[in-house]
Formats: sequence, C-alpha cells, structure tokens
Amino acid sequence: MRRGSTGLNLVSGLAMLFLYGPIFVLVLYSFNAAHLSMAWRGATLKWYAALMHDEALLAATANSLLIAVVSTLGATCLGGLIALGMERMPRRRQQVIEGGLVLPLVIPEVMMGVSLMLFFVMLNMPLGLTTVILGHIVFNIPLVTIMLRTRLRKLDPALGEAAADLGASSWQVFRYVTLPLLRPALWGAILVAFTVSLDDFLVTFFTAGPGATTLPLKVYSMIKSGVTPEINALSALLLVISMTCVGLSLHLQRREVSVPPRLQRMGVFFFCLLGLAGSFSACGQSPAGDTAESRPVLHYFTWSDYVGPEIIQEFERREQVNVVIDTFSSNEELLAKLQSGATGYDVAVPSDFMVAIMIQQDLLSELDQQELPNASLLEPHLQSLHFDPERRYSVPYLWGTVGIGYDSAVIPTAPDSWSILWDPRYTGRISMLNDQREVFGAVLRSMGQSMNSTDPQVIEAAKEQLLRQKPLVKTYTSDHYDQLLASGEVVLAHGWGGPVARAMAERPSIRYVVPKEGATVWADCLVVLRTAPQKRLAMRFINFLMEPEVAARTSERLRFASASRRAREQVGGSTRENPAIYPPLDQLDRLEWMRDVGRAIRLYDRAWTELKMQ
Amino acid sequence: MRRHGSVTAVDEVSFEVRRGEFFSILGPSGAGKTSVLRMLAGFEDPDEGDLLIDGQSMLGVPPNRRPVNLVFQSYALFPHLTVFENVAFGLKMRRVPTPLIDEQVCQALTMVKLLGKEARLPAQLSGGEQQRVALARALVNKPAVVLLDEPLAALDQQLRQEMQVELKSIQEQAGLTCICVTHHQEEAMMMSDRIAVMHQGRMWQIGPPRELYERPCNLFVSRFLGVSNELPGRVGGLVGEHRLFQPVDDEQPPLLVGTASGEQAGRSATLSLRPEQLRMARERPSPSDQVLPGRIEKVLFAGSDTKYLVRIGHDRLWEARMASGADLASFAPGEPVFLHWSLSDGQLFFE
Repeated sequence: MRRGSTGLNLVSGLAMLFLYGPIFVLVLYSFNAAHLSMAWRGATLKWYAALMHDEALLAATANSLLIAVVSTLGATCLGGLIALGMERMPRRRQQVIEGGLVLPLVIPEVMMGVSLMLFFVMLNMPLGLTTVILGHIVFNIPLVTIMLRTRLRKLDPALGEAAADLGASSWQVFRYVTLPLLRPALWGAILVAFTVSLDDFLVTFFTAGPGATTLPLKVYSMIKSGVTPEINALSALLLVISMTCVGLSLHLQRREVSVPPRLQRMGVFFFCLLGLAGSFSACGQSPAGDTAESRPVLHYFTWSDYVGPEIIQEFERREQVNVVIDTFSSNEELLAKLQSGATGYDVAVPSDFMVAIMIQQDLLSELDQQELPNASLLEPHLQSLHFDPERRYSVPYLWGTVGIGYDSAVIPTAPDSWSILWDPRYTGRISMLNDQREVFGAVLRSMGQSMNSTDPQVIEAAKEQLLRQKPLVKTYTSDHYDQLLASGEVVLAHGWGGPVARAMAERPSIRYVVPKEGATVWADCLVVLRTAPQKRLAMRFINFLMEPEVAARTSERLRFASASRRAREQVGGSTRENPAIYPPLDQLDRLEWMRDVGRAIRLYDRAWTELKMQ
Repeated sequence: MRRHGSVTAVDEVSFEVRRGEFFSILGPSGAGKTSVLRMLAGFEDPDEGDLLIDGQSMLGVPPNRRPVNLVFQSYALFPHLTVFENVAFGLKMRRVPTPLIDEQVCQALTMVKLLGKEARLPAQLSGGEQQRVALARALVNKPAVVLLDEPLAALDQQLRQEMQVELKSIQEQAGLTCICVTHHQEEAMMMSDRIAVMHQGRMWQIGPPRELYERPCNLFVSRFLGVSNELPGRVGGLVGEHRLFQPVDDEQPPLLVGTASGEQAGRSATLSLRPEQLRMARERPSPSDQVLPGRIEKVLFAGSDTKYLVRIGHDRLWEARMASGADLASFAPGEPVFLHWSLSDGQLFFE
C-alpha cells in the first residue's frame, strides 16, 4: 500500500459523506414515525401510504410526469435533428451553432425563466401546462443535442459511406446504421432530459400558470405549512427515480453495447405509460365523472395545504365543477406571478398587507356582497380592516398572531415579555423568524414603539437591540421552528401561532404566549382576481369556504383561527382554548397590523442586511 | 480532374481497367490516390472529365446506385450488426429475397473462410478476420468493380503477407475486377496485374509490375519501386558501340553506358542501378564490367540476404544486396571494395 493513501481515503470518504450524508438522512427520516421532531420514534411506512392518498401531491406528480414525458419527447426529436444536421455543416458553422446551444446552459436559469415568461406573455399565450412544456423543451434541446453530438463524433464517418456504397439510400443509412448506433446515446439523452425536467424548479416557476403546479413547485410552496415527513417520502421516491435514470443513462453512454430490443420495447412502453398516467390525472384531477371535461373549472391559487381535500371534493360535488389548486409560497411570489401577466386564476389568498398592494395595483375584482351571505358572519374586530374597510375586495379567511412559543419544561414561569428573548440563560436555544418586518416588529413593540415606525433613530435603536441579541440566536427561520421546538433544539421560538400549535401536538410541554408589549396580528383574505374567468363561481366558492361548518373544519385542520364568528363556536374546545390558534379576545388591544411603511422600508432593508451580515 | 479548394488533388488522370484485372494505384500519401478511389465510388465528383463503367457514364450517379463496392481502409464494419448481417447488408438494401441472401452470404463467407463465425460481432473478431468480412461484404454484391482502399494497411507484417496471397487467389477465383489503392510498393507488385504510379495528382507510368521495376520512366518511379543507386553526370562521346558517362564528381573515373543515343551526347543525366545488379569484389574485377571504388560503411544482415551500404566518393551511399550464404559474408565495415556491374544494366534518366 502506498504511503499517504490512508489520508487520501479519509479525505475522499469525508467528501462522500459531505455529498451524500444529507440525502441519507432525508431517506432515513422518511421512515421516521415522529411527525415533526427529528427524534427517532420508530420505523414506519405510513408516510409513503399517506403520500398515496394526498391528492394535491398526486396531482402535482401527474403534472410533473406529463410535462417531463412530453418535453423529453419534443426535445429529443428537435435536438436529434439539430445534432444530425450539424454533422453535415462546415466546421465553422458548427462552432457558431454549438456556441448558441451552450448559451442556454450557461446563462442563469432565472434569466431564462423570466425571458420565457415575458415571451409567452408577449405572444398572449396563457401561462399553463403548454408553456411549461415549451419551456422545458427549450432547456432540454441543448442537453440532448450535446449528448448526441458527442456520440456522433465518435462514429466513423466511413460507416455512413459504407452503407451508401452498399446501396442504402440516405433514409436507409439513417434507419439501419446511424439510428441503431446512436441508440444508447439517445436513450441516455432521454433519461437525462426526463430527470432534468422532473426536477426543474426555476423555469417551471416562471412559465407555470393555473393547473400547472409541478412537484418541485408544490414542495417549495409547502414551506408555509411546514415540510411534512410525506415530503421526505416523496423526495426519497424522486431520488430513486432520478438516480436510476441518471445511472442508466451513464451506463448506456459508457458501454458501447447496444440495448437489447426487449429492454428498449419495455422502455418505450414504460415511458408511454408514464405520459398517459400523467395526462389522465392531469386532465381530470377530480374523480373522472362522465361530464368531467365539460364541467366548469375553478382555479384556486393558495398557500400549500391551505384547504382540506375533502372540502374541495364537497364543493365539486355540490356545484358540479372541477377545482384546480395551484400553490405559492410567499405573498411576493403571488404578486410577482400576477404582475407578470399570469391569468386564469379565479380565487387567491393574499395576506392583509398584500391585499392593500393588490387593490392599489388594480389586480382585484369587486365582490358581490349579495352572493356572500356567509362573509357577514365575521368576528367583530375583523369586519372592517384598515386595508379594505368596506370589504369591497376581500373577505378575511384565517387570522392569527405572532408570539413566542416556549418549552414550559425548561421555562416553568410563563414569560410575558419579549425580553425573554434577550435572556442569556437561553443562549443558542432561541429561534427568530427569518422576516425583517416581523423581527423588527417584535423589538419595536418591546421598546414601546409602533411596529410600523418610520423614525430612522428608532429603527437604528432597534437594530442595536437585535445585534445585541444575535449571539443568543440559534437560527433565523420561518419554516421549521415547529420542528426545532418539538425536538427540543430550541426552547424559545419567535413565530406564528399555527406552527407552535403543531409543535404542541408533538411535545405537550410547548406553550404559546403573546407578550404584553404587543405583537403582530395578521389575516389571510379571500379575493377574486380581476382577470378571473369564473367570477360567479368564485363568489360561490368564497361563500362556501366561509360556511361556518366548512370554516371550522379548515380551522381545526390548519390550526389557524377562522375569521368566521360562527366557526369559532363550532370548533372543538381544545382548538378554541388554545391561545396559539385562537388568540384570546381580551388580548386584542395588544395587537397591531403590519402596514406599508412607504420609503422607510429602505431603512429596514439596510438595518436587516447589517444584522444578517455581522 | 478534382480540386480541393485551390489544391488540385488529381489532375489529368486517365486509365482503363480490363475486366478481371487487378489494377493498383501506387503512390506516396498525398498523391491523390484516395481521391481517385472516392470518385470511382461516387463520394466525390470530378470537376472535369468522365468516368465510365461498362461503357456507361457514372457522372451524377450516387454511390448507392453504382455497380462498385468499396473495401474501406478502416473496414467500416457496422459494429451493431453480426458478421452475417454485415455481409447481408448490401443484398438487403437491394431487396434480394431472404433465401437467396442466406445462400449468397454463405458462399461469400466460405470464400473468405469465415463460415461458423457469422453470429459474431465485429468487435469479437481479429484484425485479419475483420478484413475478410469487409471483403466478403463487398464481393457478395457481385460488383462490376471492387475498390480496395489500402486493404492490408491495418494488418501486421506476417498477416499481411498471408492476406496478399489469399486476396489475390480470391480475386482470381471469383474473376473480380479490382482497383486497389496502396502506398506499399511490394504489396502492389505482388498482387497486381498492372500498376499505375501516382505522384502529385498525376499518373506517371502505367504497366505490369516487372516493366515498371525494370524500366521506370523517371527517377521518381525508379526510387518509389525499390532502391535506386544514383550517380549524376554527363553523357560524353562514343567509345566503340558505347558512350562515355562522366560523373559530376571528378574524382570518379569515367564510365560507359550502353543505352544512350547520339542526340543525348552532352546532356546531364543520372545513372541508376538496382542493388541486386551490383556485385562486390576486393580485387579490381574484369575490364568488361563497369567499376566504381568505394568503402563499406555498414553491413545489415536481413536473414536470407545481407545489405551493404557502400560509400562512393564523399557524399554517395549505395546499397548492394547479396545472398547471405555467399562467401562475401566476410566483408567488414571500413573495408575498401570495388562495386561492378554489367554494361547493359545501368539506366540513364535525363533531366
């Protein structure tokens, strides 16, 4: 054994661990019985079973498969033609085209996504499945062409001449010589294109419209409701598929062996099956009734997992319609999507401050109060909100507070002030939201100021406070503090009530408090978009969601308070009495709405950046 | 004529091949041989001139409609097809009925001694076997002309010599008309009925191998078809029936040449002799032979015969070749010798 090889093995071993460790952990936890915490509570397959019953995920999977199959076929045909055509060109022109082909691979994918979106909007093409497929074809063509060209260049040009010399026409040369020799590379290219399409996020994100939510988009949008172990299971499955495809592709390209015909037929069959499965479930996402295709379709654009599937099914049955759900992960994403000209969505769920912006930008349709009898049964304090006092454009749907989740096993006396977050006893066991307005809001309230302050000196002082706090903070996160709380990694979490309530279910010692200095109150509102194709149906949908019984079920499921007064009466006692879900009404005067701070937002931006950089 | 850009690859090439003849185009690389072959196969078109097979012009006829088949230098066997499928390819393209294909492929494989290996892939065959497949794939179509592009270049020396014999016998047995391109003069001479020597896009001499070797039309042909021992000089006056040849180098004695005519007197020329025409002696030999003194520089033993490099004057190195068994083996480097030859043997080339 050569000296030094032990060190070499160690280094490469560490590198492998670095690369594959996280993936291994993800796969492992897809079998973890615990819901939120990282603690191991025994092995189970229940998440895989749950996956099979999650309609939203299955619909997204169907979309992903359909897009992947169709775009792969398109890109393979076009890319193949380009590769073959280039073989016959003079060297210099080949180089020019090659440069052009590589460009889409090297420019940032964001740019490609944005430019494709602008292009489609300019052509007045409604964003949807078609545009996503076209987008995927665009980025897959270079991949296919380059892979096929590598193979073509390795082929002896004399082979084609030999075939022609033996009497083959150009078509026969292609059919009997070029194509069979190209086949391993062709299959390799198909598998890679399929994988890339299946995994793509950015281009899909920009080119997707109503009814085109793919798996990656879906997973990303689940951040708000928390990444569930189902996602681990789904990722594990995707991982297996992707790795199989890529592995097979590499194998086919490295070995010059021809693929056995039986295997090829199986491949074609499997591929078609995937496409068919995708197109079937993508077209009729509800149980396929006889009139499924002629039914009106309502497009609901919402946060991930923001409505129970059985509620949607009930509405579909009652109204004889189909509901297609697309998801976004932030208010900013929702706004960007609508501003970029995505049309086709009927109902959306922006948060309070975003409603104000959307009204300003004329993105919303006026509501017809006659159609919304249930919308008048609101909690008294939600009936006239500052951004839409007469409820001309929006109906408050779910609401809640921002406060502190803490572990009463570690902190026995209930904290009642934000100052607990500065307590050095809990150094490294505190998490803060990764949201500049919320973080500054908490400090400003603890300083006795409004969280919507525009005074530079006040903001500066708040920043100093936060810098002082920073060494105590384990992490700034908006999406997995429920897990951190449940696993005991943090004992104090600045966050929304709903996730804290979820953590309580896992770790009963978790409590929630809204500090006495005051905190944020928020409301997500139902709105009808100005470009909605189904305005009347949209009204009926909103009215349905606000039905006390439906609203109560939603509230129980999501662990957020319903804006409907009657729903509060219907939810179970444990939900109603949980301050993390239903803020006690006697605390209402502590709460403040987040408002647009105008140009002062720059002060916040700068202070936030300084905080994060230090 | 064929031009590649500004380079004229083949210029004023004109030749005729008889039915059943093995015709070789011999020349160094870059001579334009391959261009000629590609024009015959139809991969390139002549810029001027015409090309006839059995009296029919082939201009504008694509490769797949020409009654010729090419055996590629790289063999260009289809790697994804078996030996049988490779050989059957041409018949299949011409939609020959399957039973006939089977029969003809078997015949062809028998001819190249590959029967029993029809299920192998080309990658599973040795170089010699691949070369036979390539040959069978061409001749199974019974083409009017089989074109061979450096057919044996990829084989090692021993296999190459075996295949030369075999290729020739297959050609004779099947009565094939072959046009073969090669840069290997020995190969061309052993296999061909006639050879065309090509250089710089032109054909310098066409004829049977022996004629080319013994009476090359110029120094290039002479040098290309074997070793040419040369001595520049000037043709002088009559001495009896013969003429005087005065070497340029004054140290050398004047010689006699048998073949020069009267009008060539006074012209510069080069005297050329083949190694096997030279004899060596320690003592000055009989006066009937032409003699040059020299000194042995190197002795190269090559099995059946031995090569002697002999320095003539300052800057000439001649090669003589003797059978190894002869008692001349005792010649050692550094020894002074006399090289001598019959008056009728030397050949003169004028500039």
